Amino acid sequence: MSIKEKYNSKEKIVKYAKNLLIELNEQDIEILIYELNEVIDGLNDFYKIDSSKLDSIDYIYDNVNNFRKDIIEECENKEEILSKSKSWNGKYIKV
Amino acid sequence: MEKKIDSFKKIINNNKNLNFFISEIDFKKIDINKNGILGNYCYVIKDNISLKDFVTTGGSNFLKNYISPYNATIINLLNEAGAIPLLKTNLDEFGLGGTGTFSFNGNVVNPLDNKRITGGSSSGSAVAVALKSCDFALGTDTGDSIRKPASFMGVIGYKPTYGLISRYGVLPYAPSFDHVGLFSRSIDVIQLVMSVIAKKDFKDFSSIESNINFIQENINNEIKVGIMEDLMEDLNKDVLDLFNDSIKKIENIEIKKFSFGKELINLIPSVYKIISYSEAVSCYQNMTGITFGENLGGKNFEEIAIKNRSSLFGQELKRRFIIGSFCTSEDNYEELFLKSKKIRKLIINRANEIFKYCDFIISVGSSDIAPLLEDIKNKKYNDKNADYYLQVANFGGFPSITLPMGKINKMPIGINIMGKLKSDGELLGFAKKIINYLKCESDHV
Repeated sequence: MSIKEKYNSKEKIVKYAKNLLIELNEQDIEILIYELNEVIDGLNDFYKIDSSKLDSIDYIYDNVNNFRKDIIEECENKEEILSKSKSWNGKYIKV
Repeated sequence: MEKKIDSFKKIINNNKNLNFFISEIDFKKIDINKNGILGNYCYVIKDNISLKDFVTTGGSNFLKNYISPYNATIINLLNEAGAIPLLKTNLDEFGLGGTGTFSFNGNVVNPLDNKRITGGSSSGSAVAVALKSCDFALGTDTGDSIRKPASFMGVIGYKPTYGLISRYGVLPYAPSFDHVGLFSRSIDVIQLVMSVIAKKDFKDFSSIESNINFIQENINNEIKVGIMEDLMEDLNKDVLDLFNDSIKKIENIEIKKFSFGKELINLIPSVYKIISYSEAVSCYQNMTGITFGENLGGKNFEEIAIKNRSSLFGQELKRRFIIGSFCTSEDNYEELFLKSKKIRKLIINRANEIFKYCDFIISVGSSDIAPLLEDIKNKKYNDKNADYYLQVANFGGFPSITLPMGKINKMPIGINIMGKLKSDGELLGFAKKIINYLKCESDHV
């Protein structure tokens, strides 16, 4: 099955909407199929990129996680990480 | 100050038909005679930023009566500096939209040409500044939501380095892309406001320490400017000519031409959609109407949640959530979401590579003037490479500013500058220099 066929499924869209506790009307479903196909079409170029180039990419540390990286690097042990994390609005940051 | 407020209020009242704000600030609830570095400045607030004891709707039916119990950090900082809030401005629902047409409160009308869109999602804030109804406006920018409407409205729109302005108390769209930023008609005002609001906030775990000097007056050394040839090649001739003429007017710059890479540019829209929609659906999973927001009722949790989420979320939001859910489901997570994160990193790496050879990258603020509403509705308008490129600043958290560049068919269009991480001081200084050379004031309405 091609990627496009895989996503071009009314049943799947309804299923995912249901998981999100959202009911859709027929017009919504039509628009969603169109938009999903647009996103998937845009991904065709993914496959032109050498996969070995992608394998080595450290994708974890984006904008948000860079901060966590700093905390983790400056702390010596898990307890210290948790104690520093606690100071943020009284909430733990998952590490 | 009261005189100034009265004159702003007059403009606001005369332009109510533009639907650019959701609510007015009741001055009985705030002190308008405060001293401070911003004691003589009035501002407006995009309505996804919390203001204590006032309604914060996020542009959504879901929160149309939600009264914020606390201030966003940025509001506290502005309060302490004496700035006076005037309005909560209209926006695309929770920032998920780029047209100004996805608010529960109706479309924001473009004051320059009512048949054209304003751009979004910070539509109302851009219009407020274009109308001269405030000194500056708060907006948020997840893809281009400040810089694109700034281009369409002929005003300055600035998105700082990721983490410089706290997002505590700001309704999210996609946390790894979300930034708070500013609109104004003056770089001086933006510099001053940034010196007040760029503070590390322990309530926002992505907030960073700022040792930046935002008020840099004299950027006299020669500046190396990168121009991406592959962003320019699909622009209309009018836009390209205006851009080239503008660049020629800027003195003391060394222009270096690069190719960003077609292969990467083509991937930007899909990577943006997959990551931002996935993060958005995760952010709004808890919005059921049971603990806060509107509640249409029902017999049990499932019935209440389905009723509320199906009826109260707008169509665009629902569509984006479902695509996000699709991309993060077990079947597709690796193929779509993780791969997108890797491509995002490739795109950031490419931008950093270019920054080794230049101080700033200059492009257009939008590929064209504000499109017609009818063309948007009929899907006759397509973004171009230069539009996608604006999202690179969100991918990597780079500071980026759109300035008025000139007019085409009497409609404004902007020029955009993107800088290295934390180069905000130099970026604003360079922006000031460009404005002086282009002599293009934000004076369109």
